[in-house]
Amino acid sequence: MMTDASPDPRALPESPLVAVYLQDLAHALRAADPAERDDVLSAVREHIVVALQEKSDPVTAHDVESVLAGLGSIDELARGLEPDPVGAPIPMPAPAPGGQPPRWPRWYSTALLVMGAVSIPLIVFQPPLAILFGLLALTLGVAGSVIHDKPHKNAYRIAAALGGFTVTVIVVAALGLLMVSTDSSVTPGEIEVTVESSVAPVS
Amino acid sequence: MLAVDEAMLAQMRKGILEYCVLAHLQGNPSYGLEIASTLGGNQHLFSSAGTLYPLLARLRKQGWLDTTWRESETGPPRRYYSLTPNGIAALAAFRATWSEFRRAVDNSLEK
Repeated sequence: MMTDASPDPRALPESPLVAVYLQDLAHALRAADPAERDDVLSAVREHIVVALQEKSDPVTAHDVESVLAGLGSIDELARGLEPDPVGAPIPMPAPAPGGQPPRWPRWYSTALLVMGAVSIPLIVFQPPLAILFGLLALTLGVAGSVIHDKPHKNAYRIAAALGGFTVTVIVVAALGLLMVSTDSSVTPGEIEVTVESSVAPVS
Repeated sequence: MLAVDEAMLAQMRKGILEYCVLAHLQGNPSYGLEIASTLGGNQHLFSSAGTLYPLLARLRKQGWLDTTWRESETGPPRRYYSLTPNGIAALAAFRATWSEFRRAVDNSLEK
């Protein structure tokens, strides 16, 4: 047995009819996938060679005509490589106007927008609630913007931006307060010095 | 006997003939002329031998058939077509579907 990569050792009989048939077939298949076209040309060539080899020796013009007639018309053969509408892949439905439908319920993006917007004034009045709303709007907003297409993506982006703003403000404020409280703190040594200097010596 | 309606047959062959080729090759690798001679003996399956080769090329491209060259005692080497595991699975799926489909068609026509 030989591998498929072996060179084709077959020789076609010297027949102008065969040469013209294969030439016309190659022309009819010019629009086909190159690999499939070469496959078909090679297989048809082999069919002719083997079929003629089974005929009388020497091969007559009548034998050649008979073999080529058995192959059928070139047009019919070429139609076999045209895309088959029955076997063609099922086309994907066209996207709905306004893009793909949202993967999450529509009210998610609205709720996150409200949560992100409300978290900003809450920075002043209810910082713990503000950080909670801000974190929710930021994380879910980012996730929503990743898995959605426009226009739903934009709503999630805005919610994430609002939440991010709140979280940033609170973090910066907390760090500022921490630094201020660190600067104003007094060490025990300093207290001792102050007490000693403020108390008059008892004579 | 009614004359064979070639246009109707051409429609019926679509989607079915490839499985007839797979069934012929199951456990019996063959070369092109042999397949054409066997299946082409029934005019309901093939209008001409040439239509077999685009079909074989497509089946090979979609991974249902594989080919190997074998020496011949009586002539030049021949390309033998055989089923791949995917081809075997596709044929099994068609067989399972075909029995029900044929029964449904028969029932419809007998009414």
